[in-house]
Amino acid sequence: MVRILSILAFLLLLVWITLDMKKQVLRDRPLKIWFRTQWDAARTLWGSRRAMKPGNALGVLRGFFYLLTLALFFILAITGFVPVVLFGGHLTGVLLLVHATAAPLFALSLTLVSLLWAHRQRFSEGNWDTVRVLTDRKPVDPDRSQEVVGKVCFWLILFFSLPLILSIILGLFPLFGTEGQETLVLLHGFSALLFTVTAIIHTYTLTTHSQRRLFYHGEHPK
Amino acid sequence: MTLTKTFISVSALVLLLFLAVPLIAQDTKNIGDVSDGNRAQPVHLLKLYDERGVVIHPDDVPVIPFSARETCRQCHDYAKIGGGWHFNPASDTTSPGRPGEPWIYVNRAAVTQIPLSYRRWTGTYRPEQIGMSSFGFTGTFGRQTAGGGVSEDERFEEMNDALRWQISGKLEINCLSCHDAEPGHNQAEYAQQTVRQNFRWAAAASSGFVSMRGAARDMPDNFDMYGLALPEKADAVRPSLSYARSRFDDRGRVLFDIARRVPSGRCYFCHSSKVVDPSRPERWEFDEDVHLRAGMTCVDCHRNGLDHMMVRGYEGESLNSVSATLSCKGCHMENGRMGAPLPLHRGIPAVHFDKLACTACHSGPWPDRTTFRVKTARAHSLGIPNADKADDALPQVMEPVFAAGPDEKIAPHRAVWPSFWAYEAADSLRLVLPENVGPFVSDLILKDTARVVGRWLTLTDQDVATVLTFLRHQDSSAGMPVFISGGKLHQLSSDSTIERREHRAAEPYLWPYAHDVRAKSRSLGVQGCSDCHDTDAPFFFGKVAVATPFVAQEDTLVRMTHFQKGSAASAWTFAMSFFFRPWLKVLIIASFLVLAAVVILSMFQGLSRLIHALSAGEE
Repeated sequence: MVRILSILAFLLLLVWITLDMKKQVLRDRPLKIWFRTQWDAARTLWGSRRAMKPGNALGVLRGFFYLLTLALFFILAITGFVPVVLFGGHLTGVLLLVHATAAPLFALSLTLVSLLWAHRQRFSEGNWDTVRVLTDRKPVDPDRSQEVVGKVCFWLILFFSLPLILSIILGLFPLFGTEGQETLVLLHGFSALLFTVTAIIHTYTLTTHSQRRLFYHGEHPK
Repeated sequence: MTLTKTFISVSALVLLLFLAVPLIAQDTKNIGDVSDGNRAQPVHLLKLYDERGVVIHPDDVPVIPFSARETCRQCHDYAKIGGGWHFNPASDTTSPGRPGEPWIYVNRAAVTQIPLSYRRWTGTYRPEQIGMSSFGFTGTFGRQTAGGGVSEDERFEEMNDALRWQISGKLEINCLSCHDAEPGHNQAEYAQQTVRQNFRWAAAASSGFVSMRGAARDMPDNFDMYGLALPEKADAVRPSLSYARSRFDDRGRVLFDIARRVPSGRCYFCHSSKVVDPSRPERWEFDEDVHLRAGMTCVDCHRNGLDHMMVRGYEGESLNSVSATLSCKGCHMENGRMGAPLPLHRGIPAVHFDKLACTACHSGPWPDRTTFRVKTARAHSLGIPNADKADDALPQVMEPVFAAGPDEKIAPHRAVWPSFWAYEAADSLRLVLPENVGPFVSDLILKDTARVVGRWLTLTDQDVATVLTFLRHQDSSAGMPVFISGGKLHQLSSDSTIERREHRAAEPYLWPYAHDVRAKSRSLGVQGCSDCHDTDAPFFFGKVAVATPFVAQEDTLVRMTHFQKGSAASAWTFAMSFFFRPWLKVLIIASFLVLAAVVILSMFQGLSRLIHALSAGEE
């Protein structure tokens, strides 16, 4: 069940990303331009680390834990979904080892992200206005739409992480029998799927935001 | 018109034939094979028949042994029963199924211990590969069979044995081996008669109303049961028997206490085992299988119909939906048959049920750092007078070996390491007949008076090289002489030295077992994950003893993971993670609580702002 839904979800996500890339991001330009833009953005970010104010340690922590969480997320997603989606089996062996080692670090890292970012990710009245404009199908400044999408994804990620972690915590104690354990694994799988889809959408929209903004302002990346 | 008539006649004939076939088939069913639904035990007050189908009277001279085949076939379909699991190892039409216990041929003089089977189980050898004919097989292993199969089927007879078969008779299916509930039934007597080659007398001798003496083995080739030919040896006694006259009623019938529900004691004669555990040397220190302790018998699960195809009880064995439920899972997980308790398996991740057979946690002895020796009825002639009662009697069989089966599930297995001489040519092995090498090896060892001869004839590298050189001179065209033993193939690298290498024939033959089932409170995992996921847990890191006759490699050990699909490193790393698990649990729980607090607090804040926004106009 989780396997079928996962395959469907990832296929739909792939189709959506492909179409969106073509229509909103690349606009008939080669893919390498997007990669080059991402590379340039990463270099700029790395180069600007020294320019940060000495008192902005919290900002550094925010960035660090965000990136750490993202890296751990990808490790967990790959080790968790590969055996289920590709082989249709349970998570075992080395993959389980990696998964089980990365998971507590991820939980801790995500918790710190939630503490560091929650205040910034509060919804404002301006976000509500953006939603109303979006529902009227009018063009919106990508900065504004990205802010809404980012906040929605942030809170969904936190929300889905609760059953994701709880299902594992309960499974670690002798509380549930065979059927209960299977239900917990199922719950873990579904939560992980929703979490992963949301996280991918968040990452995708964030990484393509600069292109959208350039197009919106009539500037074309070369 | 004539054509139409002919057509109608032919059609009617064909129709009649179709209708008649089931009727004929129904008529041929024996009276004892058709149940009218009454569950009471039928009384078996029977006339005795000899192997020619002639009724036996107690006053007959000479006294002829009754034939179980002829006596029982009066009411039962002997041919159909003869296709059953216990009798069909050599059948080409029966699937060998999951590997089972082989017959283990031991020849101490030839340093040979080799698993034999007529079934096509990978890792076993057919008896004829070591020069053992069906007659030899019956005389050697018939002791713990119920007869039939190769011991009766003339297609397996060899010309050289024709006269001996005439003297010994066939070892027919002995229905009494399993179904005789009479306390006086003596299966050990049956076993002894097979060793004496008294095959046609064996069934009668085991019944509680026959006295048997003599041995067909000692009779000359011209011996005639009905004649007066004298034995060649002075002290040899003709095989003969006498019936207890009191057991015959006035119509010449004998009462047999036949049990449809076979008592477990009957099964035990061939299916017993004794674990050699130094910490528990006495029999009373072991517990019995929980199912038997609860009042069940073997045949409550290992059932069969008239065809006697016993339910072996492993998953995937049968397509029959009813017999498929007669497994651990069938009773305990799905159907709850026979009031079987449904296990909760609290706290055990579901992946365990994909990776492990039920028996992994529930069957056999509690595992120790190294495997135990185990003696089985069929391998060690348990229950037979004069059997070697020593704990280290050959063959050397080890358990529990936690190995992955064909279904990739880990289950406890028994293991026997093959040891034999062979010629290797083009990656195939031709076994050297034990009698061709035994005398040479014995001479080699026994001439050395400085050597202490143990239960194994312990060999040095030099000894092996000498024997291999001898074999090379014996038959230089047969290929390269090799010695399979101790988990390695040994071959000559020069005249005096040998080299060892891996070879699939040197791998142990493994077969899964399921009994004795331990009580729930004695299951693996009952003390926690560390029962298996500890860095020195026997389940992964136990050592399997490699029984070997080598001095150089005496009792080497192989790690349990060698027989599993995973690597030792990953199992060890995984086990190591359990040291940190309590801390990781605390970390995850703390993270979860903070995360939940952030989400809930933010929800309340959002709700608060919504309330403010909605009441802004009023203010």
